[in-house]
Amino acid sequence: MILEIRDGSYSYGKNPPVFKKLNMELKETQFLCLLGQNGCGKTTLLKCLAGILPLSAGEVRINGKNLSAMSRREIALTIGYVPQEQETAFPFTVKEMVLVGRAPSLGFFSSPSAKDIAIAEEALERVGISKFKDKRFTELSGGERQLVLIARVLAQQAQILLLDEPTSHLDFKNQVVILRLIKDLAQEGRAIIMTTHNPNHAFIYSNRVALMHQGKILTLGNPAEVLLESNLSQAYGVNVRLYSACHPDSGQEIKFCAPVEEMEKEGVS
Amino acid sequence: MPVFAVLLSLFIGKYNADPMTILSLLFSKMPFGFGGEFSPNLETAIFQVRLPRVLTALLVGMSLSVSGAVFQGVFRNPLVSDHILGVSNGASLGAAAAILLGTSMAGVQLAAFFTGLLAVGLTYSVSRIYKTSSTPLTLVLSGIIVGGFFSALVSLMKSVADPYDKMPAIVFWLMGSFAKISSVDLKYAVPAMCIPIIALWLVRWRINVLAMGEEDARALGMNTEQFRLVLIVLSTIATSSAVAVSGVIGWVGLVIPHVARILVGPDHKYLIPASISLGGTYMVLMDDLARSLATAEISIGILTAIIGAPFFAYLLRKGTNWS
Repeated sequence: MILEIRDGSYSYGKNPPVFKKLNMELKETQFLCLLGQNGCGKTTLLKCLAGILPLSAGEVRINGKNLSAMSRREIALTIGYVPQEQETAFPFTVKEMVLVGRAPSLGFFSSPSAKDIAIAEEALERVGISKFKDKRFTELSGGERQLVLIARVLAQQAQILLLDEPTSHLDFKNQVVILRLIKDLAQEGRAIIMTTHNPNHAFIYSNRVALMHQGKILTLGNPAEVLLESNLSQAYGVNVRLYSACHPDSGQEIKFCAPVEEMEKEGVS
Repeated sequence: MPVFAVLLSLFIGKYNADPMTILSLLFSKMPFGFGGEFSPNLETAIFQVRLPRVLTALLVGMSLSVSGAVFQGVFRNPLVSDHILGVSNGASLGAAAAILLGTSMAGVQLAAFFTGLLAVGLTYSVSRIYKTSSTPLTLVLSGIIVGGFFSALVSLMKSVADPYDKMPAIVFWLMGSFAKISSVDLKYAVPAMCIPIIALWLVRWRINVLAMGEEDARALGMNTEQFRLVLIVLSTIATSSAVAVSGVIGWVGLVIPHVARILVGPDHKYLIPASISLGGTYMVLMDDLARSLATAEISIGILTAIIGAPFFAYLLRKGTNWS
C-alpha cells in the first residue's frame, strides 16, 4: 500500500496556489505527523489526498493507480478521511453516525445489515465510546464528537487514514487514548497521516514527520531527523527549543519542544 | 395505519350506507369474494367516487410528506419543504398555464413538473449567490423570493384568464381539493406519484450519508452531485404530480416529517417510511374532515393550513433541535 502525491498543486479558484509541485509518499505501517502553521495548507493537502478536492495539477496515486481514474466509492474503500469538525443538521445518534461509515461497502439500494451493525459496534468498542452509542451526536462535547468520527472511519475499514487534527478538542487523557489508538492502527498495517499543532505528538507517537511551510514540504523523515530546532523554528516562524528529560522509571530519554520567544523576553529562562 | 384511515374514509360520505354493507361490498370484489346483492348506486358511490378520491388523498399525502422529508435531508435543513423551496408555487404556475391553455391532464402534469423543477433549481441557485453565508436561513429566504415571484406569475395568469370559465377553475384548484378527482385523471397521476415514492423508499438510507455534509459524503464514497440531483428530481416529480391533481396543499410537507422525526428519530431508514405512512393517513383524515365538516366542501388546502400552522408553532415551542 503506497499513497503518493507527485508534483501536486492546488488553488481555490483563481487565488494563488495553496501548495505547488508538492511531492510526498506514505507506506503501510507509517504514521506521519503533518506539522505547520495555521493556513499553511495542511487541511487542503489532506482533502486532495482523500480525493475530496481535485488537484489543479499533478496526481495522487494509490499503489500506482491515479486517484482521478478511480470512482469515489473505490477511493472510499481505500482512504478514510476524518474532518476537523462535523456539523449535522439532524440529531443523529452516535450509532447512526458510525454506521454511515459503512456506506462505501453497501449497494446503492441497501441499508446496513446485521454484519454492518456488528462492524460499527466493534469500532465504537475500539474507540471506547460504546457507552454512549445511543446518545445524540449534537449533544456531545467537541472531544466526544471527535471520537465518534474516528469510530466512523474505523467502520469504513480503509487501509489509509487521513485525520485532520484529531486531537484538537481532546483533553490530556483522550489525546493519549487517541494517539495510542492511531499508533496501534498503523502498526496493524495501515498508513496514516495526521495533522496536529503539537510537535510533541510526533516525538512520542509517530514514526514519520513532515514539516509544511507556505505550501511546501520543508522536510520529511524520521522524527529524530526532522524535529530539529532549526527546522521547527523555520516552519513555525518563532524560536523553538528542544528539551529532553529522562523518564524517572525506565531512564529512557524523552524529547519535547516548546516555543521560547515569550519566555526569553520575560527573562524566565 | 393508512389502511385503517382508507377504510374509515370509505364509510364517510353523502350517500348513506352502513359500514358492514360497504365492507361486504369490498369483499365481494376480491378474487375470493363471496357474492351478494348491492344497489348499483352504492357501487358507483364507492368505486367511482369515494375510492378514487380516498386513494388520491392517500397518495398525495404520501408524496408531499416523503418529498418534504427528502428535501430536508438533501438540503440538510429541517426548515425546508416543497412549499418553502418554491416547488409548489412553481408547479402551480405550470399547471395554471396548462389549464389556461386547456390541455389534457397529462399536459397539466408535465407543465407542473417542469416549472416545479425550475423553481427548486432557481431557489438553490439564488441561495448559492450568498456563498459566504450558506446557512439554513439563506435557502429559506431564497425559497421565499422564488416562491413569491412564481405566485405573482400565477396571479397574472388568474387575471388574464376567462372570468366565467377558466378563472374559477384555476382558483378552485389552487385552494387544493380532492373533490374533482375522477378515475380518468388518475391514470397518469398514480404512477407519477408511486414511482418516486418507491424509488425514494429504496435509496432512503443513503440520505443519511448526504446529510453528513458535502465533503464528508464525498469522503464516504458518494457521488454527491449525482445523488442529490436524483433525489431532487424524484421529490419534485412526486410533489408536482400531487400539485397537478389536487392543487396546492400546504404545510403537510413541512409538518409531517417533523412529527415523524419526533416519533422515530432522524435516521432516514425509519424516517422515510414513517413520513409516508403518517402523511398518507393525515391527508385521508383531513379530506374526511373537508367533506364532512360542513354541508358544502371545505378546500383541504385551507384545512391543512388551519391545522398545520398552529401545530408547527407548537412543535417550535417544544424546542425541536436544529442547529
